[in-house]
Amino acid sequence: MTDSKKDYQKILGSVQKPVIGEAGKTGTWSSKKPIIDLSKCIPVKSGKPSCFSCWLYCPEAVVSRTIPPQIDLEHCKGCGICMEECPVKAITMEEVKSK
Amino acid sequence: MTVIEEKKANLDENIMILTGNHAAAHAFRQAKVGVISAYPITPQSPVVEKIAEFIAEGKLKARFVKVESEHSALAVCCAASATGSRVGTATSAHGLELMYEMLPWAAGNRLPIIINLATRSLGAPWSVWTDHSDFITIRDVGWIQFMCENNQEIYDTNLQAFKIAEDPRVFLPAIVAYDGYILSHTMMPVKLENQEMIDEFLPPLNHHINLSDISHVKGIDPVTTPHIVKRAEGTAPGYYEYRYALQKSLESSIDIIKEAHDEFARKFGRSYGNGIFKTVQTEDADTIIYAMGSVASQARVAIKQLRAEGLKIGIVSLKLFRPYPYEELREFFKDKENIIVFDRDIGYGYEGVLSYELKAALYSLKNRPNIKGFIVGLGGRDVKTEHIITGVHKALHEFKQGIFTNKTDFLGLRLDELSDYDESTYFKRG
Repeated sequence: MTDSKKDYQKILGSVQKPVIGEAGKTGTWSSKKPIIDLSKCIPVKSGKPSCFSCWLYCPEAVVSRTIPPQIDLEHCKGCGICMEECPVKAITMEEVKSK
Repeated sequence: MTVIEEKKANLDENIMILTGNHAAAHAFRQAKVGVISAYPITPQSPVVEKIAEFIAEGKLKARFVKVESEHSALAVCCAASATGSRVGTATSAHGLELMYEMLPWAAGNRLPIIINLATRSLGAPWSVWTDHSDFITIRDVGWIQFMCENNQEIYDTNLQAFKIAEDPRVFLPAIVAYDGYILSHTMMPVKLENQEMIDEFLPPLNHHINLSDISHVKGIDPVTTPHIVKRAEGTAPGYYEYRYALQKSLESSIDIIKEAHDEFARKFGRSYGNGIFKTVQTEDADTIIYAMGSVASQARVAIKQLRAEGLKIGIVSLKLFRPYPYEELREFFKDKENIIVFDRDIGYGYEGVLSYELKAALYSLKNRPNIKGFIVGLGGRDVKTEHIITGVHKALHEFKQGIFTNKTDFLGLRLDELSDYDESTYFKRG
């Protein structure tokens, strides 16, 4: 059966394992990038794993759940949702200078 | 146990008097469908109401997911199918149109979902009565499409549809359609088959994908680029290759559809032509009526009269609409002289879909038959024997005169009763 399979019978649905950057370096799409002011950031100030709203709300999963939170700018699309959601306004969006 | 109790305990292996909708529900019960998600719409609703009853009574061990729209219903079906479960739903008209966005996803992901469609005309104006407008609108998204002519055929075709859709050489969703009210709400004797024999015919689904298998995590539907994809796990096809595979699987599924039909016939003793189309008195016929569903049923009555007039006439009732069986049709029609097509649908802006598709399919024949198409019965207008007879006479007359046109020709219009009607003055009177 396997040997007699036609070429098209080997191709079914499009599948993948989850990997970082499946759609390429999406960070190049952004016109703004998020900067975290660590003096305001709740987990940094308290030294405890807390808040992490930026990690929770990021639609691209580029924010780490660490102290301090790290943002993977290679893949951040610059949507600004983290800035919107940060309860202490620790995040600002900075213009990316085009080269 | 009394005789009645015994009969109730054993629903199967009985001839029951069922509506088309309930015949479909019984097929789902005996196919042991695992997940059903649906939204009610006339004239389909009794299908899923009956299924809900079966689940409540413990006769079907399945999960019924209630949703807020048909779009969500098919979205649930897609997700459930991707966990390896046998899945189905039912809908009509605008319900199907609301599912439309999800239809190509089901086909592209190669999910063997079955939809029962009690056909109904599309608004506006608002109508709940049958024609095949809803059925034809989904012909280009990659689903297998069947049309049935009676309630037994609905039951049988559902069981075959699961077998075909789940065949590893196919893995495609399928739609089983039947005329709203004419079949959906009309009772007929339907033979329900022995469960063990159905289990033999239709073994559990061995799916190509199972998202609930956590140890082998797979995601479906990553962004699939125009080019071949290089991933950590290896080289994968681009969009173009997936769509090639979908089309080729559809094309080759015709053989598997015939295979499943023949196996069913051997096992249960019922067959429907060659599984692709049914013929009535075509052996000696030079003139053929070509139609689908309720229209073909009515033609079965009409040819008795036409034969009495001395015409050598028969019927081809199309059962498989997609994939389009062009080879089988070409082979069948190569020696025929005249074909009269009755469409209970219009490809708006052109003509009846059965008509223009058949004309295109027969183009390569050396001796092309004469073909004329008629429109009949939109929005549930009765298709009468006299309409079919009038159509046949008119077509044969036009063929003799050498008139061939793609212009639509409506049978059964009642414009004669509307000589007073003008919308601009309609509300100003009295």
